[in-house]
Amino acid sequence: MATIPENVPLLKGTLDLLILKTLSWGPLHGYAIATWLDERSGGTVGVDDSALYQSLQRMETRGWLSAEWGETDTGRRARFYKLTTAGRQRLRSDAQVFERYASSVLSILALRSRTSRTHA
Amino acid sequence: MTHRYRRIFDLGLGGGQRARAEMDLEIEAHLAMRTADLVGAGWPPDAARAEALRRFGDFDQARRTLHAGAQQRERAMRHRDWWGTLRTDLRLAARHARRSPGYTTLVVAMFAIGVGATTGMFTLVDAVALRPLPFPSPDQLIRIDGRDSLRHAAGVVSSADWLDWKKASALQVSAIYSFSARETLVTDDSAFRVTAERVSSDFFSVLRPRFLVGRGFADADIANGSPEVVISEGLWHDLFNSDPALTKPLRTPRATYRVVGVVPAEQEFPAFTDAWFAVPITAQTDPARVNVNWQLIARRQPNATDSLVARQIEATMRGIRAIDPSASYDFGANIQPLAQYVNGDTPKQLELLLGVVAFVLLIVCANVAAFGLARSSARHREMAVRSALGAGRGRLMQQLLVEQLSIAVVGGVIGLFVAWLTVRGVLGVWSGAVTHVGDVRLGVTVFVFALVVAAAAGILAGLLPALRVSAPALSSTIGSGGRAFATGGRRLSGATLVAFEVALAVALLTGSGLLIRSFRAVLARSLGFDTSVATVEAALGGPAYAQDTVRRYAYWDALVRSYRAIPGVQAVGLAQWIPLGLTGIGFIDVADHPVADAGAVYRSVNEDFFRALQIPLVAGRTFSADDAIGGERVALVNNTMAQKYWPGQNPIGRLVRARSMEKGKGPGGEAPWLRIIGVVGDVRTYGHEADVRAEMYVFFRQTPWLSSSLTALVRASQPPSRIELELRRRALAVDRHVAVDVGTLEQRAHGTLASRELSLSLLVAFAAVALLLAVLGIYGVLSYSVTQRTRELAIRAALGASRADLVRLVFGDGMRIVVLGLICGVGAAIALTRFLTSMLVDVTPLDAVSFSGAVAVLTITAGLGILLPARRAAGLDPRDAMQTE
Repeated sequence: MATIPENVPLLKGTLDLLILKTLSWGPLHGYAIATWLDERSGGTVGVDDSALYQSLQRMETRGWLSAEWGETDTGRRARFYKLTTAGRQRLRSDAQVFERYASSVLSILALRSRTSRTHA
Repeated sequence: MTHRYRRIFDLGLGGGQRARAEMDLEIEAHLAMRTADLVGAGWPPDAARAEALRRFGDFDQARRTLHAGAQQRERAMRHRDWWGTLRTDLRLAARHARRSPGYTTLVVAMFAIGVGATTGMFTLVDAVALRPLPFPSPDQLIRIDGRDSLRHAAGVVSSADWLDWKKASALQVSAIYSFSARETLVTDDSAFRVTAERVSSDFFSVLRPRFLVGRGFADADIANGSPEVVISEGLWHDLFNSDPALTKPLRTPRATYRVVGVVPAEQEFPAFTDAWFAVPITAQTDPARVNVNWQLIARRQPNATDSLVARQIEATMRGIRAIDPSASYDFGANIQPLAQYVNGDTPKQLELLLGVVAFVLLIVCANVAAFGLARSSARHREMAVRSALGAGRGRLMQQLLVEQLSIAVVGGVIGLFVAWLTVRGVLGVWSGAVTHVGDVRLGVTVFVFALVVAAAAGILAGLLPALRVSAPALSSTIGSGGRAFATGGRRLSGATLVAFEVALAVALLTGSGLLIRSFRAVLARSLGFDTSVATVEAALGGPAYAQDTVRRYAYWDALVRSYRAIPGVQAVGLAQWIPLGLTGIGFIDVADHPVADAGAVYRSVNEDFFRALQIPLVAGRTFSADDAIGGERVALVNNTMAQKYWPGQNPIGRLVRARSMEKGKGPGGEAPWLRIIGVVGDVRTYGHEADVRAEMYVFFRQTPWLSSSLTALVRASQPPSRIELELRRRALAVDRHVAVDVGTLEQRAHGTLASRELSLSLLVAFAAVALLLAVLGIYGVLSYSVTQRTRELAIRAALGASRADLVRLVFGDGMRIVVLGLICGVGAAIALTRFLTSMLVDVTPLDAVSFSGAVAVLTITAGLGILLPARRAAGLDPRDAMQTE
């Protein structure tokens, strides 16, 4: 872990979506969410720890998450977050929006590379 | 889904501080886990810790941001918690209401009555008393009355005085207007009568109404003698089909007027006027200052005060008095806001009734609270269990308050219906007395008022039981099955509240008693005449009658003859001015001995007037056909006048003259002397409420100048209302161009009592409700007490107490409450009944009969309320009672 790979900057709102997705498998504490995201993205999604906790606070305030103090498997006290019903609905709708958004961005990118080829 | 999270770290800190501390713990846990992982991956501990911190970016900055976020989250959570518990409480309240539907219905009904009656009265006070007059800058509008040498405020001025008074610099503009009178209007094929007003040309400059069409009068036109009239919206609609062109003139039998403007219905002043005829007023119009035939309204300067106006007018009066000793006013001017004059006593009566319904509302609250307290002993177990499960005291109080509030609000909404009924009922009776009745609506203000009152009542009623029930030291209750609270000092929970209710009820009953006795006193007063008489008012105008006295008498003779021919008709009287109608009052002179400022009601009548009204002849004779126009002028006086001006003497044969009413009718321009030929019984000209006045009667055949506008009074064996149509038909048969108003004296007599009757019936109704509620309170509290004390009473019975002993025990408890309430209530009544003084007739505010009556009624009804639970206590079987629980 001597070097940290160059991070792809996160688009606004994407972090929330990723956290919601992460929590859809079950309650986790903040550190576990951070490591989980790190591992799944192969280290490409760079999540600032401060941004992670701000996102958690924001979503808890909005009622998408609820939190409870509990114990980790190593016997440490930590705050566990889990999805509420509202959070689950949010995940569903945001994921759809994001997919549409991403696919249209991708299709535009594909278009651009074709036109540039004819130019060349 | 609740978002409540269990806090395992209770640091004993405030909300914000705790949120920050919790955030620190969370960050620390994160750092520790990250450091541990890095150390596991081979990092040296110090470097691992530094790396963990580095991942937070600027750590101090991050920590501050997260603290702020945590506090915000805390606030949002608390808000959400609050709504969550409210929902829970409402669910609990609904469940509780379902479990005891009878109790819930009763409490809702009590709230509905209390809130409804209060809201209804508020609506009326708001519409009648609080709303300003519907004219621009209504606070500048005043009415000016002179005060005469008897220091009476007289509502009349002479035109000559007005011309001088109007110069006061504190006034923008002022105007005089006559007393409303009926005026005949003619169209091509018929004639009808409307209520009309003669006004000076500045009348509408004072009021500044919003003309629907046209304008007010122009001073110059009126001064030139151009006949102009302003009409009401109603007349414009009926007569001119709301034609905005105003091309058609308005015709009376005497003249044709140009219609210059139309006043909207809500701006009619005086109310119910149909036509305002402009009259040019100059110093020559009527120079005599004793002829006080006008009323005065004015608009004062925006910065002038009423007292400044009064001072200026008084100075003017002194100046007038110095040059003309006959001027009537020498004791200053009375200035009153026009609104006060228009509304009269109505706002005061309404405010009184509003105070009364507030009493009823308080009783409702006390009753609900008392019931709540009584039931609280039954609910101690529930509360104790909830408390043991972790609900704090505040939480329990909140639950109970929400329960009471929701019931109160439901009651309040139903109360809006009660309010609507109250308003309808009052207006039904009062429509004649309240001028802008049309404006009374149940709007948003009223809705908000009802909700606020309901909420306040709910809190008031719920607070005491909530405090009691949620009181600490509950642990023992669970074990004892609730019995602990059924004995000892608290066994009569709510006793004080019930005593309070009894006190309020006694005060209301006393007030009702006073008004009932006043009403009886008023009704017992004889009017002095019989009202079962039909009235036919007719006015002879037009060129056919104007200059022709013979034709006028011919008309009246024909009318009387025609009416006498109706089967069942016993007498047909004729009079210029009848009792309960418009009245002429004037100064008089008495021969032989001068009497300062002597006055009398003056009436011109025919020979059958006294028989038609059944006014008895006390001495002498009445008029006869021999009293001809050329013969000696004769007069009758009433008892009061005889005793006032000829005390201890026989007035018959004495001479009297009507100085102001017959001015210019005798030799030398003076009023002629009249010889008194008889004395008749007194009448109350102004109705039941008013005192008897000195009155004189002259013979209508000797007063030809008063023969154009008379009222026929028809007494028949059948009820007056049954012959009204026939009377109208026969009048038109005599002359179809003469319009008549047909009515009955009974209607008029009732009109003078309507307002008193309404106040009385409302107060009695509210007092009855109060009594019912108070008795219900006593019954409820004692019933609960008996239920709770079943064991104790059974033990007493087992130990040898007789049935009578048990009844006495419970009865004594109840009576102690009642007596306490009675003492306080009589005290309150002594303090409060003086507010009724203006409505009392022949009864003092401390009338012993009313007070003892109220005490007796309450004691008896309360006794019944106590007896039922007492009998139940006596009927307990010791064996059954011991086994319950």
